[in-house]
Amino acid sequence: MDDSKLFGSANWIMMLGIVGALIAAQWKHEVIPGAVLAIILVMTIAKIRLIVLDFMDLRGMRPNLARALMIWPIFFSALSLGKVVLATFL
Amino acid sequence: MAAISTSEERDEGGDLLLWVLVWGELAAFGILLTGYVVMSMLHPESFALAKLHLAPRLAGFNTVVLLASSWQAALAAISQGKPRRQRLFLLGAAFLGFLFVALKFAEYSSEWTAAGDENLQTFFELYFLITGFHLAHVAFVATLFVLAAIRLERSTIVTLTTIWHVIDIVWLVMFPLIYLS
Repeated sequence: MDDSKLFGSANWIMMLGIVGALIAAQWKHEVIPGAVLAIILVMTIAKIRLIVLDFMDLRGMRPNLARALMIWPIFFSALSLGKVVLATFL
Repeated sequence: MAAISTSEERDEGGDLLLWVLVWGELAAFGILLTGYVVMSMLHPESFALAKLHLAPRLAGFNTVVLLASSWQAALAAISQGKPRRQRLFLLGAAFLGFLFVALKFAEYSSEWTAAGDENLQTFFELYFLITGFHLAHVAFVATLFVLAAIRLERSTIVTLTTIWHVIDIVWLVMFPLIYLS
């Protein structure tokens, strides 16, 4: 991985981080709607994917390890969303 | 005198140890976060009430600080053979790590008074346990970054950087789970 590729990846990660933080800040002291939380969680997974592939330098190197690492955040994001969906419909 | 192990074997051993450490961290935080989710389903009202005392804006800003620190660490890891650059990036990662710690303490100071409320105690016990454990990791590894900048060694930088990214990933999951959902 060279500097310019890492810079490009870092730009995406930072942009996703800033947009996610700005979206979250709109609902201070209020319950975040499920759809908005889903968007934030998708952005979280996208950030983590870039961190795993480019910051940890696993892109094309160890696909199984990268996939295994991605399962952890996907599981907790699904749990987080599932909790909100359950609270809404039950 | 024969070498006990070749450098390749040592690398493989170090690599295995690193990934055991990574999965150990993910397992530990996984147990804590699962406990948090279970408790939040058992006490939905008190958890919702307690969250009103949190500062998601500050936590959101802290997310960006930690991501920037992670980027500095990644730059340090790929700057092999350029000691000056590597030192600069390591110190940059450490500085942003300490900034995260300072902002988190500022956040704690506004939350501390609410933690005394009996109805909110369950939430705040878990909140301080999970975020405090994470914060201890940030402070510790940031200190190690400073030490690594003094004595540059490839394997140390790779290990620290990998652990730093794991700490980052844990925070990225923790942020929506605790502050937003």
